[in-house]
Amino acid sequence: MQLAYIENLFSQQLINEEEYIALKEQHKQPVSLYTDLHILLYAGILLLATGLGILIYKNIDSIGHGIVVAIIALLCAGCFIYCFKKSHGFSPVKQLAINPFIDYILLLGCLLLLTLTGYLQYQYNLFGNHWGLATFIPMVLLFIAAYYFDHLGVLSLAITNLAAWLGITVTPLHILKSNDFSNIHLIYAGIILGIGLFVIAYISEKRNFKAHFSYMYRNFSVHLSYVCLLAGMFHYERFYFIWFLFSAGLTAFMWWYALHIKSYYFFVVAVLYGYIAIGYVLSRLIFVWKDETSFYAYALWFILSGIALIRVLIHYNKIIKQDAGIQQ
Amino acid sequence: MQAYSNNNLNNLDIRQQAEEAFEQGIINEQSIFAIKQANPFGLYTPAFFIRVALALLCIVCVSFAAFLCFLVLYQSNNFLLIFLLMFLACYVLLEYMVKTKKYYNAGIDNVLQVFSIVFFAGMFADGNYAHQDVVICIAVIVSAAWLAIRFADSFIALVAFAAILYCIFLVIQPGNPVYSFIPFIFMLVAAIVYLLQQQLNKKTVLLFYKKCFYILSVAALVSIYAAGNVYVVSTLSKPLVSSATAGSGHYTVLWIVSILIPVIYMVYGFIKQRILFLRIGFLCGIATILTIHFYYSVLSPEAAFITGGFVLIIIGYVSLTYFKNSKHGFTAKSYTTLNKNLVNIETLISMQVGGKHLPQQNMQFGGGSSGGAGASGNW
Repeated sequence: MQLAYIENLFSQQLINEEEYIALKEQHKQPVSLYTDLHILLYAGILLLATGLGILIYKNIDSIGHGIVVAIIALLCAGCFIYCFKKSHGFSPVKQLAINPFIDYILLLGCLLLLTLTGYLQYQYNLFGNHWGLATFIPMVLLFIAAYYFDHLGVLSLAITNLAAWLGITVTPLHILKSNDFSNIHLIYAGIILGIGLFVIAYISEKRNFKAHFSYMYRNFSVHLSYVCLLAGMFHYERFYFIWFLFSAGLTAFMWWYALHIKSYYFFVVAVLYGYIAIGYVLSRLIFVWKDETSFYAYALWFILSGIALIRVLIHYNKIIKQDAGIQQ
Repeated sequence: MQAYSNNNLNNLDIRQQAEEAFEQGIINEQSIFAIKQANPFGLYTPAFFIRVALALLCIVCVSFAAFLCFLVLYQSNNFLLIFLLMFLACYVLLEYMVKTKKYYNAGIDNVLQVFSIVFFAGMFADGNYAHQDVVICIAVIVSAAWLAIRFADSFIALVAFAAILYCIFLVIQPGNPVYSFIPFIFMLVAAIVYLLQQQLNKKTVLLFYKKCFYILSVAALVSIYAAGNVYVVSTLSKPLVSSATAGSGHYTVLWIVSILIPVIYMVYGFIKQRILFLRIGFLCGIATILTIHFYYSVLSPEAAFITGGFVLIIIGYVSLTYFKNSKHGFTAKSYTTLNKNLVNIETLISMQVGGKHLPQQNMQFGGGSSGGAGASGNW
């Protein structure tokens, strides 16, 4: 805080003497490099894992498969042994890391584990024709690592592997591109996974078992469910209204839930996905006219609905703020 | 000229700094409550996610309003009228929202400012001017500068700065006597902007432009480096580089500048304990290494990745250990309990980089379907 502000606040008796001294002391505090050093470590881990990936790919014939597997396995084992030795061990509640370096070594170990299983399956056909096992085993290991070492990044890797095991890509840049949503089984799998993840989030909170993981589960759950429902609506034109009803149902639930947990994020997510669903249905109805009028109606719909939604968001922003006791 | 009262924005600054102190556990709940009571903030700034949603919806509304305007007027072929109407609509609405609803960084006002610039500049895009690009650029500078002054919006200030640099780029074309000095002209302009904002930043009456000055300082420092970077110069100004071939004085000076500026930034940042200079200096240093790698590549891409990765991990680890107990005015400790943004960003990147895609029956190893931290996709 600026010195002038500190003096002012103290002269107005808005802060006590202890706080006044602490705030003045803060000025003498060293500059924190925490964020910068963490980004540096993270970038280093990603570069190293990428470099190793390319190295293996390019030299696969010249290095020799055995040596490649041995190097990756050794590195991977080294990372996990280091983490086991240095970490707190398992705890059902959130833990603060003893040393932030452990988090990054664990991440490197998990990325190497994924490379290793993929490589073993391709080269040695380790899991035979049970392709699912090549995804299932690393997924289980990643879940164990995430829960044991209390690592959100590894948990997200585990969830993406769980989705891949069911045949769905949930990485942010590939969710729309890599999935074949014309396959009805994929849509159903996505919806079931979405519901499952939501239930896990609920249980985690209810039982206070890694309750801080619940946000991650819920986030995946909501986006996956909405993307699958919208995909169902876009691809199955004959039954699009049924899919729309499910989307509307989910929006109503998420609306209630966001207000219940006072979450701006989930409220916005529900509103925007719901808007897309309604927009799609209305655009289908409007384009039935098939003349110039439909363009006017289309433009008017987006302008008016946009304004209406803006008013709704402003209204609920106020309500959530009041309910959460956030002072203006 | 300012659309907001100084009192409101000063109070916002006090509240934000008090909240930071509260998060760090320096002041208690009672004090933060008292500070907020004593420094009321009468402007409307909703929560972050609501702001994003409001901005998106505002983009939808304005875009379809422009589309509707086009539908009504396209037969008259008068595009100037369409741009004028849309500019007036956006600007009047912006003033109205700020005046009556007290919007400040609410998402809607930010989007309306951007559209005001777009439509204002669009009025000059009818092909009637000899130097069309320059005229549009000047229109952007004028409108962005006015909006930045009136609404203290840092993004708009950045737009004005970028437009000034682009305008210089358009004016000084090959054949112009000063063309060969264009990198240094850019550096000079950026340096002037940096020094100017430094002076203005000291004035307490301009306190509410703090964010604008910060963004301008970042943009100016990056521009000073980019203007002298060999790769940037050769990409943006081919005739300049072809005349300044390897070994010529011009070329050598650019290389010296590319190497020296990151060093100067980092040394200055370390001595003065300015984290901004350290960060920009480090990033510029990486940009210089990549430039050298681009022109005089001695390592294969994979070797470069592995070496770079090892170097970053070692720097990170050594620095974490070295600054653990605070040295030279720096510490590796965090003053807040959890850096949520950092965790969220790291998690997103991990998912993208290490996340599995669909397994395929006849997949080829290296086809990009398994985790490999970025080796996927193109390898």
